[in-house]
Amino acid sequence: MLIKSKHFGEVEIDDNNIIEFPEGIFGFENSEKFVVLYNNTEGKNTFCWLQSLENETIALPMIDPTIFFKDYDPEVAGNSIAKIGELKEEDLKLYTVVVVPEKIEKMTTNLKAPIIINVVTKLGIQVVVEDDKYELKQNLYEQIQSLKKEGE
Amino acid sequence: MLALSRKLKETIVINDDIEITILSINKDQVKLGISAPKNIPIHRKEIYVQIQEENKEAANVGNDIAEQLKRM
Repeated sequence: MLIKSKHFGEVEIDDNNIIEFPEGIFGFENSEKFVVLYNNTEGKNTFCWLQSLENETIALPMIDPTIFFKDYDPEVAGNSIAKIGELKEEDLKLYTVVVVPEKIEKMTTNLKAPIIINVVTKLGIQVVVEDDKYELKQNLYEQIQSLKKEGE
Repeated sequence: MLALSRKLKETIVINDDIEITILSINKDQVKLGISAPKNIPIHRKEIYVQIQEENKEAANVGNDIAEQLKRM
């Protein structure tokens, strides 16, 4: 189906990629249908976008946190995760929301409340992790830069 | 909201499997000990408000920044 997106204009999406968030996400509890948009289908995308289908102005940038934080392994309470159906390791997709203030160097990501999607049930939820060590505002720009340097 | 008074070291039981004990009372701060099954999430309430605000700020990214992100 054709949808209106905030940063990609009109986009054709596969209906199978629509994810239902029964509780919405924090701050947008009334938005229940989302799709994850990528800049291009092949090749490297640092960022993807959680685009609301009900409100085109709601789109949150996200990353796959394990690319930048290899040891990211949060503990999530069973009752939280049960809301998206029986979940096996291979069925889950984990993202963290990215905040970009005016200066891109101050970009942070929320490791404290990841977005978890069950690709089998097509349900999603944003949870608060049980670990104290993960930050709400984890500096991301520095992490991206240091990984770039390693890759060179 | 149910209001119960407890003294130091006294406990409240919720749903037969959650226990909250007053561990210490210090001027304007109370330390609570919470026993609950691992599958039950327990968090300070402020965190939910902080996350809401964080999400809203994330969604507020302008088109020009979005273009920059697409190119990273």
